[in-house]
Amino acid sequence: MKTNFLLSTAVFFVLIFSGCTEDPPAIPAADYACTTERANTHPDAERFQVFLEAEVADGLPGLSMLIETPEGYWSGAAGQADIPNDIKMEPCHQHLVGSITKVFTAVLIHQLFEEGRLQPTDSIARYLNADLVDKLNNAETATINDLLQHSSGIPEFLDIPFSLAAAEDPKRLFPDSSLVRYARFLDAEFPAGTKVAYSNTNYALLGMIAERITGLRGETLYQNRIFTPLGMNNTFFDQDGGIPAGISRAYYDRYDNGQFTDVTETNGVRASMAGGIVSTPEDMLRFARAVFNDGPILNAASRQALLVNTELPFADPDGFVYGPNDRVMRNLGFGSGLITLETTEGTAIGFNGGYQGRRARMWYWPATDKLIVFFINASGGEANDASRRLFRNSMVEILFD
Amino acid sequence: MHNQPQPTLLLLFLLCTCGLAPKSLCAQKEFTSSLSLSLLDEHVGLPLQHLDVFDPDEVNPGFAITFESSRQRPGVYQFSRAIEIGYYYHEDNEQAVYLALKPRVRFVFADLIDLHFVPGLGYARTFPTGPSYRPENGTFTEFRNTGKSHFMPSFGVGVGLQLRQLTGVPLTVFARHESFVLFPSAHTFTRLGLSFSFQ
Repeated sequence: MKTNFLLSTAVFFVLIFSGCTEDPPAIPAADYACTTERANTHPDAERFQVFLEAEVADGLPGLSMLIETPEGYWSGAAGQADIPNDIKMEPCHQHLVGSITKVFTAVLIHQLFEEGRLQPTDSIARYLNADLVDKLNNAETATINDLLQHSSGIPEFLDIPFSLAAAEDPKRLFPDSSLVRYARFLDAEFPAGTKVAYSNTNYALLGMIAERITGLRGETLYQNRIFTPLGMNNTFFDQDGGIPAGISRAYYDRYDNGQFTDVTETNGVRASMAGGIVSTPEDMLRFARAVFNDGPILNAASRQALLVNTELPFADPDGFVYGPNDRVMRNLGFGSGLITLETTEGTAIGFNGGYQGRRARMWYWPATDKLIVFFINASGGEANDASRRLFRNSMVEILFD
Repeated sequence: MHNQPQPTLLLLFLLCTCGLAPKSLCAQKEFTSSLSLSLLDEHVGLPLQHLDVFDPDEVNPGFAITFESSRQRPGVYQFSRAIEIGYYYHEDNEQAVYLALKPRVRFVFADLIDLHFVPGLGYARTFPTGPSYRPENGTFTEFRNTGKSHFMPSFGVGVGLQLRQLTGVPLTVFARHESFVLFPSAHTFTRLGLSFSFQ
């Protein structure tokens, strides 16, 4: 018996310790070469940098942040953009912005409103093929505005079948037309136009509709209508799934044990107009100022529409109320493209983005004209705790305390 | 404290079973034992997914070694106890090592073809296929990931062809589709195996 026990144990542990691991990608340092266009002018620059260094020392691979207030401008970074190739994170490095892409897509839709090519009250069924409308609950009754403000009730595609498909082939790309297929046949959340529930499907559909109306691909629409007019030269969207050489790598704590793996190339929704744009903090500042303040891409009425909250109730009212001691207290609602937060320092408008291995934040306090953008190249486990703490407390503290 | 303790306890139980079961069962003459080697193709998905089209480029390879013991009995119905150790590699996702109890119910027709059902309960440890990093003195460095433990409930249905009837050699070739869960994902195995029987 002892022999069998020892043999079984030995075989099992030999298998455990003989597993293969792929080599990390060898990326030349030159691919990460970039320059920051603006000099830091903020009087608190040193305090900001110390804060970043402390967060990274606490267990984040890398963190990049930009702050602009009436006192000045600052951008900084800490940690590593690429661990195996030992590349230090720099403020000019690119990141996937995740769901902040939805604000770009909302801008496209508002531009189409301005041009009279689309109306907020249009039924989305007019712009989708009949087969999809038949199989996607609420697609016959939802309007463009319902998609913009998440009141369509159309189910979320990020459900079990999609998760299994993404895990089966982690490098598979999912264009929007493919993503929305995972929402077919699922039950509607509620009748369209009666409540609000965040759903990625809404913005995947808006992307498809914008492409259908203009006859152009999403990457062309973003480039011609937003990136180029705003001089966002380090921002791009590749619907064919290309990953820029100098992008910060994404690290994911898969097992919640403080051990990260590189997931940069394994996120198929990077081809989606609900989450696929790559940008830098500096370029995001250009976009934020154009959306929050003034810029050539939208008229004043459209900018206002982006942030005026729907008065519809949340389907899950508790889902957007944060802790009693948090500086960001709750989500006040969705406008036609932006979220409004109630914070201890007044209302903030903006959006969050999150991928496996990435977190992105873009928030603006209009009353005090304070703006913050930051990117974390990690998620899962304690990285999620850190990004939650940064969003709910630290970003307010660093701007206002 | 990150890993659940329960799968590890199951592993200890299974390792003890590996030591006890073969010895006690083989000591009795009315028992037949067999050793099987299976080639596995693992996929993430629900039962019966990935059966429609076989694409050699999308195989996630693995193997399993199974020790099985059954009481010789007349008739169509047969029952055997088995313990299995296996490994699979799913590119860009995970690799896993597992140890499982897999009793098998067989219906044997004309001593030639069998239809079998295999429920199972096992312990699996999964590891990422890419390199892992953790902070050390303020900088992240590469190291070997310690992985995660899982319960591994499974169920399989398969068919076998007993070559003894055709060739006189106590071999059985079999094919089986299995579904198993490594929370939070559902997986499948499609396996081809060869089993050698001995007294």
